[in-house]
Amino acid sequence: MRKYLSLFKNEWMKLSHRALLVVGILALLAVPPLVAISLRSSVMYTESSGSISQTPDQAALQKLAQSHLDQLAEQQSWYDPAAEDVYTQLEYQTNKLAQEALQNLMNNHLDLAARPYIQDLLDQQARLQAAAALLANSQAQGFTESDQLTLLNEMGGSQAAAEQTLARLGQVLADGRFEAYRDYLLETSDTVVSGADYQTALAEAWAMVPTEDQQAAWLYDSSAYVNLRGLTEQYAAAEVSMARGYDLLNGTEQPLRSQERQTFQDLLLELRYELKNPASSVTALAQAAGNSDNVAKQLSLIILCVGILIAAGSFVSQEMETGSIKSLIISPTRRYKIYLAKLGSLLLIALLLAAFSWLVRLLSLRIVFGSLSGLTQVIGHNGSLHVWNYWQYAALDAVLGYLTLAVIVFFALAISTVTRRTAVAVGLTLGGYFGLMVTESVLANYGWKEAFRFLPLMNLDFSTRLLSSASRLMTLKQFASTPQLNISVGFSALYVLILAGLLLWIGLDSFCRRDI
Amino acid sequence: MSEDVLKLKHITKQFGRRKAVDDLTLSVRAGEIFGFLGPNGAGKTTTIKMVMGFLFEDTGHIEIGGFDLRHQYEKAMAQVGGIVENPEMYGQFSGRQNLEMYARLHGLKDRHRIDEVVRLVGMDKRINEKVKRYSLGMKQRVGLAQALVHRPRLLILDEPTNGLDPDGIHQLRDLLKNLAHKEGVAVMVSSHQLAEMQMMCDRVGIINQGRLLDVRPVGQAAAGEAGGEAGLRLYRIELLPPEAARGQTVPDAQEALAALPEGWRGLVHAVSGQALEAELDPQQLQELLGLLLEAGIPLSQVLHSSRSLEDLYFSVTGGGQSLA
Ligand SMILES: Nc1ncnc2c1ncn2[C@@H]1O[C@H](COP(=O)(O)OP(=O)(O)OP(=O)(O)O)[C@@H](O)[C@H]1O
Ligand SMILES: [Mg+2]
Repeated sequence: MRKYLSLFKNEWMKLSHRALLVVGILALLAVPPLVAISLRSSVMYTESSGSISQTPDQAALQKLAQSHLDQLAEQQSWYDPAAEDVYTQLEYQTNKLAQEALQNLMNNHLDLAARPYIQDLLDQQARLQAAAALLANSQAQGFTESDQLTLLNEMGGSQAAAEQTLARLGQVLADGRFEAYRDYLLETSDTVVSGADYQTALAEAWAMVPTEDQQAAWLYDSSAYVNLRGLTEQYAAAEVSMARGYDLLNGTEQPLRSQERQTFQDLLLELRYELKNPASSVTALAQAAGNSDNVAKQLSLIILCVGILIAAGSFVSQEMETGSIKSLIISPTRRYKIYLAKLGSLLLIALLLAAFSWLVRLLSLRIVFGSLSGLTQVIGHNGSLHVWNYWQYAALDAVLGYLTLAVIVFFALAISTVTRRTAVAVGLTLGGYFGLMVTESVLANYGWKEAFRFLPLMNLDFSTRLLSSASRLMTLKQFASTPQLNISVGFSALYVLILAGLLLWIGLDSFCRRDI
Repeated sequence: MSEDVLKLKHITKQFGRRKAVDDLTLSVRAGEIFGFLGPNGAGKTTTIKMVMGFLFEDTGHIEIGGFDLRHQYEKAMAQVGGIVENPEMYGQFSGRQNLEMYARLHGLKDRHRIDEVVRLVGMDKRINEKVKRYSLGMKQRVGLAQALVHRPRLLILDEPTNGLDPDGIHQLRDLLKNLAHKEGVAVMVSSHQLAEMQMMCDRVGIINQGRLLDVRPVGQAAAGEAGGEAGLRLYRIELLPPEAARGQTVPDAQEALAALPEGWRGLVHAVSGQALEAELDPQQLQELLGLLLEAGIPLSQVLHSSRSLEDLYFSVTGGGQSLA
């Protein structure tokens, strides 16, 4: 044991004398606050430029609507009303409808007509035009059958649905009433789900949102509105999925297994909480804080990975190249102990750096955004609801990040030992690390059986795989049953463990049994 | 006879198809300086690397201080100190830090010991500078300090005079003699420097193409090949070492010199605490021995170390042959 301690102390000294370490720590220190400050200031910028105002600014909204009107009018002047072409005719018609709707809006409902409404109106006009073209003139436009199907899908799944959408949109545009528009939104969403039960569920979701929050979201903060809408849609889709027994939330339309039912139930629990308490989590500021932490987390992880990769990839080979390994070999120490001490000191420094970066992230969020309450994590698990402080959640995520670092350490150290060339070891590990990121995102599209063929290439980027399911994590057991990339996390964990063991064996074997 | 600290038994090492070391058996005793001689590529470094744990022997056994190197590795290696080829250390650390790191692996906590060896190798002024700023000779000196810091019973130096200035070589020679003859350390030194080896070593082994061709005391090395030749030879007269005197005080080399008549003092000089050297013909040697005995100075042995180590070397290695 004392031998290990001495070895460890020496290896630690070598690691902590690296210039790279200083650069890495500085980068870890600088990134989170920089990201937070820039995202925070972008929110302040939109606030000051008027897109999020505390009270509806009549003049500004008038001006905005007028400018859209002008645009539409200009477009209208390009059309030839006398043209035979049905498509042009329809475009001409829809543009006219949109103009009328906007005009109507400006005259009657501007107090309610917040920016998102106008924006959506214009979006719908574009969709309407596409649908019109499809329905009226698809042959003439030279659409193939698959083009048609794609478009139909966008419009709601079937010819009939598309026609319905079209009719509905036409109506909305024709009367320009706020209520009609809102009904329309309740009816169509980004999911392919439709039907009366879905509508009911959506209404149910909206009803959960406190009135004042609803008002505020609609009127003052367009991103709050969009986020709230996303939550209601998620809620309705999950609710309908449960009732119908098919997964409509993720669009797979696979029958729900009992395990997934539990997951959906837990998700509904979470959504109910969020819908009832939207104030702090759906605002632009809360979203900016969340995004800022996300970006900072990813950047910090990359800095950490690359840093630790270089440290580990050169840790043995550099000693071989400079010859300093001699004083280690001459010492009365079995070689495997030397290797383990090197491994241990790398793992420890990775741990310290991961903890350090977690602390910096948390502090900079706290300082720049004031409060972390908007980032509270709501976690449903086995029918009960848990509300996690953000720092707890972030700590979990730092632990998962550490797992990635650990795998990299095992990998890079083994290659460094086998090749005895720093350049080769660092190059191979870097290539492997970034190559795997790309490979995994490609493989994510495969079914689980196909994905298995690529098994040796996957699961290395442990944390990104685990993180997306971390929001639903309470215990490791439940965690392990959450399928990711079509392979269960438990399996991934086992795989990574075996992989680490294998890499350790390769590194040890090469270090202990080869001549120097 | 003193015990064998290093024992090599039938060691063979092959690199691909080339046998770098071929059935080599030899031992180095406590208290002697063993010279390992041979042309480039003879297998000296390869042998030393096997003893120091760098290379794995194909066949044979290595024993250090009574411990089998493969089965009691850490105990065996705890007895060894040395330098293989060039001393390489951590350039980003100071000489002292390097020594501390190494000493730590030997479980050595005594800071004074580090100061002691640093002074011994004459590096006390610059030991706190980073090693990457050292010259080759300075690195050799710190390397030597590192090899000595844990008081090894076996000291192995691969071409230690490489990069040392004349002063350094002289100090090294004295240091090694002192370690071997006074402290009973077994010293193994490889070199091409025949003259150097002749002055330094008690025994030499000559290796070529991996095979140990000849081992003999340096005095006899000359006698065997060039015996009977007339003229001057270098003699080494060793006085009775204090440890052999059973508690009585014995005169050292300086006292022995003082006991000689005026005229002899230019011819004879003290080479270490307990040895004299002189270049004499056989006649003169008889006279000198007589004088010493008359003065009551106990002798332990007289070695005959003529310049013909070179002759021996060339005749054994087949002088001038190209590389294996
Ligand atoms: N790692 C190795 N791989 C292959 N052959 C090697 C290796 N190390 C040494 N050799 C060969 O083994 C033989 C002995 O080399 P060694 O270094 O022991 O010689 P040496 O006696 O120390 O020579 P020098 O006086 O030049 O230092 C040489 O022929 C050399 O080419
Ligand atoms: Mg050599």
